[in-house]
Amino acid sequence: MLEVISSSSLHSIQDLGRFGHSRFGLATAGAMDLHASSWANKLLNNTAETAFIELTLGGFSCRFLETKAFVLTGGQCDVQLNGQPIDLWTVYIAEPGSTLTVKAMHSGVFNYLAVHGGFDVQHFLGSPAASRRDQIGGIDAQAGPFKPGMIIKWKTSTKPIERNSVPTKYIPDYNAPLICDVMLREHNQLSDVTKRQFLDDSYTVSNETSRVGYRLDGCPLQISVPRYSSPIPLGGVQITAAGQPIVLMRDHQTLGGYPLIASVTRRSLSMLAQRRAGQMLRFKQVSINDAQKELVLLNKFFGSFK
Amino acid sequence: MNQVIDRLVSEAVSEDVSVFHLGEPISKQSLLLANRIEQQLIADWPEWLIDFRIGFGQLLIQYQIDLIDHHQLADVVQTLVVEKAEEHSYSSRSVIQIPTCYDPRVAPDLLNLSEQLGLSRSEIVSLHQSETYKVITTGFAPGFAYLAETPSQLHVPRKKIPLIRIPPGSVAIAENQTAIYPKETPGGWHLIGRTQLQLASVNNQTISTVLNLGQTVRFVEISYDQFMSEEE
Repeated sequence: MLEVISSSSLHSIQDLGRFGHSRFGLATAGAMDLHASSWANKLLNNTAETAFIELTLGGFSCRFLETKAFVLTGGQCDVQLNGQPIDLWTVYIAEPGSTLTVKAMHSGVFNYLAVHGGFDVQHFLGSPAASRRDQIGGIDAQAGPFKPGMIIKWKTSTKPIERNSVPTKYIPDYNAPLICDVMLREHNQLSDVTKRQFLDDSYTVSNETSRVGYRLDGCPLQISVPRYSSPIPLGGVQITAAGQPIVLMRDHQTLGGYPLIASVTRRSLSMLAQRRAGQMLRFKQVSINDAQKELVLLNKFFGSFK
Repeated sequence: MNQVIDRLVSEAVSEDVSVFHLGEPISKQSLLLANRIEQQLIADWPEWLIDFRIGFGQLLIQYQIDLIDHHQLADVVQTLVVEKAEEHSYSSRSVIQIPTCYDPRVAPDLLNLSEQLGLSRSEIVSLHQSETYKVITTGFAPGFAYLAETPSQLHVPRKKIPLIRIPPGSVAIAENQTAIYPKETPGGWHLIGRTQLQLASVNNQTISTVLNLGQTVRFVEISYDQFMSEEE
């Protein structure tokens, strides 16, 4: 068991997400940076479906009440185990009574805390993922926050574990300018000029970012608004009435009225999630085929990658 | 409907998501297809199906790309739209009645709207009840159904600034549609009434909703006293 010492309302239980209920308007939820959370589970020999804690912008401390192997992945931050600095992307074994403290972040937005066997949280409609928009899932089944003193249970795992780390070459630098791979929609009502502008211009992450979507600042795009709303895919790029793109993230609404012109690849979506307001990015067109090959590899490597 | 359905236009929109175009959003054809597809996907839930949603004439499917590809998926979806002998359709005769109170005490936008549309309060209320509506799309929140089509006199753009908290059961109109907010959410539609009808029940195992794709709905006026007496 893990005891919460201090937390913020932005931290939550997540997993791959809640699938199969979007026709009711429910958000999928799930890890904003599935790449980082998947590495945490992989290092601990957990299945891809295992639940973990998503931390947003640091500020979390907890006490291990039993011996447990754990991993913290995601953005660079000051993290200490019993007051001693430890590395991210690395398996540690916490002794009973030891405290883990995640302080200020230096890069990125999200961290993932996974334990060997995973957290034991009640499933709500097939998943423990907290969906704040729908007020379901998470530690209290209502997407409520962690509170000091709260106990988070975990499962035991008999699978072997090694004290290893993610090879440095696979650890992303979230401070680097981002090339965000996109697949352009065929039925996208974009003129060639607008298309070129979308692919050639650089964008800045605005300060309007949330688990629902990231709005980007850039030269406004001219595009007509469709009469009816339409279903929105994860990673969809919407253009607002003011001509600014919004990339739809894990808590996105299921239907939307703004025109959808592209979809960000699943890998790039994880990388975008870790960008903060003011960071630069460019879109790069990729074919559906190439993007599919990449997702097949991610699926194979991590067990499941949605 | 016994005619052959043309091959649906489909679009691969991301690695594991395809969108199928079913026709004009409010057309009989697209509702019929949407209805057939939804019922069969729910009944069978094939192994390759991660999730799906249907909205305004478009079907979005997320699938396991290691089990099926976009072209095979298009073939499978095409078989779903073919009429089945034992077809069960929501477009049956039963009409769902929504007891609705249009009293200004629970219809905060009725007076403004009366000015905006150039109609009296009672004209709005009787026009709203004059139509039999179809559920053309579900989503937004469990129990929320987009109902079409309102009489043209009631067509009105959404509010510029959405309300942060819409009371549950609020009956609302926007564009050429009407809807009921099943729970307290933000929203930009104009509130013209309230119902006590529970539109969704959500627990950790299942979701069940009163209004489903293709169903037929009418609004029936009740008094403020009746409305208040139904309150639990």
